[in-house]
Amino acid sequence: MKARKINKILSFMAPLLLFFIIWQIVGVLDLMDTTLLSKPTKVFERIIQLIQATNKKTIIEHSAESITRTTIALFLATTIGCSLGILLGLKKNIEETLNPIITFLMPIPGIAWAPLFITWIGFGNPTIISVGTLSAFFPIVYNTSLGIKSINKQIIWSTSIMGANRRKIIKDVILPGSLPHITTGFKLGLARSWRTVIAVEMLAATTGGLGYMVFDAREYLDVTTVYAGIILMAFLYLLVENTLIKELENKTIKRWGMIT
Amino acid sequence: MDELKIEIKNLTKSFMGGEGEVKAIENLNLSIKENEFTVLVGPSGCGKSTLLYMLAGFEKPTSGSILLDNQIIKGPGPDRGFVFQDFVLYPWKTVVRNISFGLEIQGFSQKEAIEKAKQKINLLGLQGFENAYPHTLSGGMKQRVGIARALAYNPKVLLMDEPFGSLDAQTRKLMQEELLRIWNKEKKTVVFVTHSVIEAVFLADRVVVLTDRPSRVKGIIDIHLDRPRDYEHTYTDERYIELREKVLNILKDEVIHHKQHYESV
Repeated sequence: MKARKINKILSFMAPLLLFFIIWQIVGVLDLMDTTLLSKPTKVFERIIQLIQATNKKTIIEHSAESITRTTIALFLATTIGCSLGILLGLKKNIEETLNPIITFLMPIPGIAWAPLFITWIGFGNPTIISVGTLSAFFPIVYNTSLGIKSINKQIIWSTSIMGANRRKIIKDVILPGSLPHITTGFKLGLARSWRTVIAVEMLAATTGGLGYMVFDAREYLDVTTVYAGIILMAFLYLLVENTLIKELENKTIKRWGMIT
Repeated sequence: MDELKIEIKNLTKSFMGGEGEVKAIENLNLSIKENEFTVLVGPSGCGKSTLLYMLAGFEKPTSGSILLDNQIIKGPGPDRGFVFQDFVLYPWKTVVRNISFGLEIQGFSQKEAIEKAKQKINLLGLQGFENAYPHTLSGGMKQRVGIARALAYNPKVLLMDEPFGSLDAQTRKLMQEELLRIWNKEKKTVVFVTHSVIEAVFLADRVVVLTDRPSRVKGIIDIHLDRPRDYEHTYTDERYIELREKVLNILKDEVIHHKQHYESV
């Protein structure tokens, strides 16, 4: 079991390592302009420098800001999205009214809302978090209502024959039964809010955040810092998905055999 | 034993299908006695399951009525237990919690419910699997949980919709014997749907043959075979073989009728 896990991590890391090696070779041999391309060794060096920075915000502080914003956005989106999703899944007439609106708004990229929100509520956290929330909201509401609608009719029957009332059925059967879909929505929401928060940080952040840091570095043609930020964005997301989310899944829907 | 338990009167059920109204059941009449083991057989798609769903209260008759203890069935209720072909267990609950859930709904505390569920665990031979999740069990074990769950809150009537239909032949035979053993202990009125005549005659006090759509009762065959029954003895019993032939003969015309109507090009 343990050996398999290590194997899995290795087979994930190997191609990445290859990618970094090729990048390094291209940089060392000067095959392309290094001011534009930088080099992995330089980038990792920069990450260490940025962790230890004393004269400005450290990369950890920037990351913490992005993570905090994403967490708040995701929390709001999950609260609102799940509640509305449950309502849509249970009440057909409400769903028929709201579904066209949701379907229309869903494909709009989160970042496209940023100019509007900047106009309405200005730069800073309120805009970043609102737009992050909005982008995570759609996949969450959509998947939650889908999960509720796709509950097997027979499992509801088998509970109603035991004398359960509607409330009990919703709480103890419909909600746990939709958990696989709700989890999917949550994961999509996490991915979307993380991307959107970082993107909006480039436009609307005034103090920090990974998006802010990267966009700021661009002004000084500091490509290495841009790469450092980009690599951290990927790394942090993968870390959260493969520890927190995986762990959560392993303890619930995976353990119950509701996903493979 | 001779007390009338279920009375189905002039029952008709129609659905709105792609080509207008489809009659699944028409003017069906049937009486079932208390503690009787009744098996419904009929060609596939004839409305056996629909009839069972109406007995459960999952679906409503288009006209006619079903009486349970002289009361019209208006919806699902804990005086009945239901066993599905595909088990339909709660994947997020352990075996014991699947079984105790009905008791919790009845108002027992979780502790009491689990205590009572343990009896059914023993009855169904599920000891050692109390804390397993359903997806880790074999089909036969899953259906043991399904039956234990339906019996846990002590319903008077047990409705079974092809409960062994998705099990392999060996497990199926074993489960049939197990069901008879349990029925002998728990004494319930059982209504059992199957398309297997072998199974029907082995289990039943009475086999009810239904016609092809729209379903009516085509014939009722009393199965006067000794109990307890088991495969070793009943299978070679000449009366068993004769009864099987009898049911098959009644059913044959209906299956041919079904083929001509629904499977011709």
